[in-house]
Amino acid sequence: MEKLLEVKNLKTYFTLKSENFGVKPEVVKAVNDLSFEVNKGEILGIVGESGCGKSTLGKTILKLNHKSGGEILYNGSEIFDLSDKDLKDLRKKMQMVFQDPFSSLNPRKKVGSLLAQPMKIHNMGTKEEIEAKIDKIMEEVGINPVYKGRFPHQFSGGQRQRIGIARALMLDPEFIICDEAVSALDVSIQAQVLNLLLDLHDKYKFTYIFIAHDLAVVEFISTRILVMYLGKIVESADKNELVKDHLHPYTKALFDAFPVTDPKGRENREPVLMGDVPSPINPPSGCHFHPRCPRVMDKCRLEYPPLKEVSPGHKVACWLYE
Amino acid sequence: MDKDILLSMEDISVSFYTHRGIVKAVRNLNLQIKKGETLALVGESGCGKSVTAHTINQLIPMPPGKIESGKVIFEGRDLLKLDDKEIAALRGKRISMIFQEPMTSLNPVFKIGDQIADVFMAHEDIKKDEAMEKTVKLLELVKIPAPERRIKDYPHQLSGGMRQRVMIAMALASPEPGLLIADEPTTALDVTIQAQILRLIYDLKQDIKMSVLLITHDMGVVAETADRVIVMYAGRKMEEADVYSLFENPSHPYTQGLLNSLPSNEKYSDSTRLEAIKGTIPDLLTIGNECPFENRCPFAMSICRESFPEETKLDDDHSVWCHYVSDQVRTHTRAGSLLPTRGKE
Repeated sequence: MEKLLEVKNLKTYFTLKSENFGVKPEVVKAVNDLSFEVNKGEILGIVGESGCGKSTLGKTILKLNHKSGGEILYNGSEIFDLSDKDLKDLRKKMQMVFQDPFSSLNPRKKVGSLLAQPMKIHNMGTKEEIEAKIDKIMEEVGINPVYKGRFPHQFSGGQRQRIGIARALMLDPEFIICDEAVSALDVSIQAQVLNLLLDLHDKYKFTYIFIAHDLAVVEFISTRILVMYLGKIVESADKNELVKDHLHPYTKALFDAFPVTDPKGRENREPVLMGDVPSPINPPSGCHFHPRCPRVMDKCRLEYPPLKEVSPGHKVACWLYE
Repeated sequence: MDKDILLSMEDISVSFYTHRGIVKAVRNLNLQIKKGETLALVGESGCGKSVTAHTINQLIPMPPGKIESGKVIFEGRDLLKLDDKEIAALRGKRISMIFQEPMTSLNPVFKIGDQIADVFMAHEDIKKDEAMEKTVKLLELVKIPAPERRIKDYPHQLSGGMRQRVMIAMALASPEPGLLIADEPTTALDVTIQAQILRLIYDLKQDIKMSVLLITHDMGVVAETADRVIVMYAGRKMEEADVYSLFENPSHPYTQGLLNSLPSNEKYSDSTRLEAIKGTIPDLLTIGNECPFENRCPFAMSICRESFPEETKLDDDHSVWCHYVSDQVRTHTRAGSLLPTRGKE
């Protein structure tokens, strides 16, 4: 398989403002030494709870955030080393769909002009070409092009998310990051948008990174899944492999905690994972998951386990599998 | 009236008079909450589930809201006829409520121990010391570790899950809790924390004999906690059933569509597309007397455009409001086995 994106030892740290004079400012290690690859045409799901760094990771890959270390190679070239002009050209190929379709569209602009904007910024096409493209893309995402004179507030949440997707498609990208793209939608609408994303994937062979907290959604759409916890990848595997055989205790807890739509046997469910997600400012020593882990050992408190390949394509960072 | 019934809502209709017109948020709703049960109201945004809950506590802002008709009978009294003072005496004492975002429901400048003790002192004639003792016990009950230390914390010092536990404790800070209304109590929480809170509500209900009205959009949450379920859509009750019966045999086309829309549904283990419900919810401003699901329903008939159906009883504890299902039941004598099949099987 051909690699599209390669992330090596990526770090993104944020320094918090020091509250007291003379006190060393605290550092949040939002993305802490991650390495993974994205192959052409795959849908890589990234799942984790709030504060695990999944959104920061998505933004850093598109250079919407700074990085504190490591490499992000897109088709072999480091995106943080590109000149402004080269980066602008690259941006055409990488697009992002955001969570909140209410705040990611300018309320004062008509849909037609919102969709025309990306092409204007990149000086692409004549006026007629842009109009033709808008009609085509709106059709594609399931919104009648006659509505391009409307404002965003005149559409429902699901339609607005379709407009957000349409906007990402205007420049014929090859790589799209969806950051919680269906989380704000009602389930019946969410299903429609997921189907749309898959239809587009089949037609244009996009590569997606699909970031979400909802395990069921990630499990459904992805071909491969990364599970994150406090800035680290704890497990990564092909979707089918991960669903069948999740190894890391955190992945297991995540699968167990997900409410099942079947009331039978709910009295004797597995005990739930106790404790809270610790603050990413001061993550626990050793393996960050050890205070909540039901299978904790002495070693876990001291040293962070390496991400190790246990079977082809299945990596896990846990001392149990050493 | 049935002795087992704690609260009953009869023919409730609630509208909002906005500058764009009249929004018919809830229409002709009947529901009963039995003593000691968890009733879930489930549906998507705009289905009227929160408006229904707020009607009980008289938390509907009026204007623009208006309760057009109906009664809310609680312990022999119609809550809608009570004056402000009488309803205030019930709130928090017999009927308490927890909300989605616990940070906005707690006062940020008071210690949580004081906030909970205040609730005890408002309902009972007791001293602060005694109220504090009770508070510590209550925090223990909702499984907050080291409660003697935690009572001195401010809300911002707690995590989201802990705050929701404090809210639950506060709702229980009454000598005689009757009904707990939980409006999307776990929606803002992470999934591992959600599992803890759901387990807590489930356990508490077994310990304390109280009733819970759970408002949620999440079918998974319903399956984990509810005893009985009402599925709402665009202000109407579509299906009402015992929780086992509902998930075993979802009978309204909307309920089926909702369950089919979930990517976690087992049927999608090797499929690449979801069976989504087409279209979007109708505008509550222009909706008439038709079945509100008619424009999205795969089984819609001409009668569906004319009137909202009457109740069709499939079972003692399973009812559906649907012309199609009622036709099916009428043409086949044996009800229950010949319901519309789920999806395209």
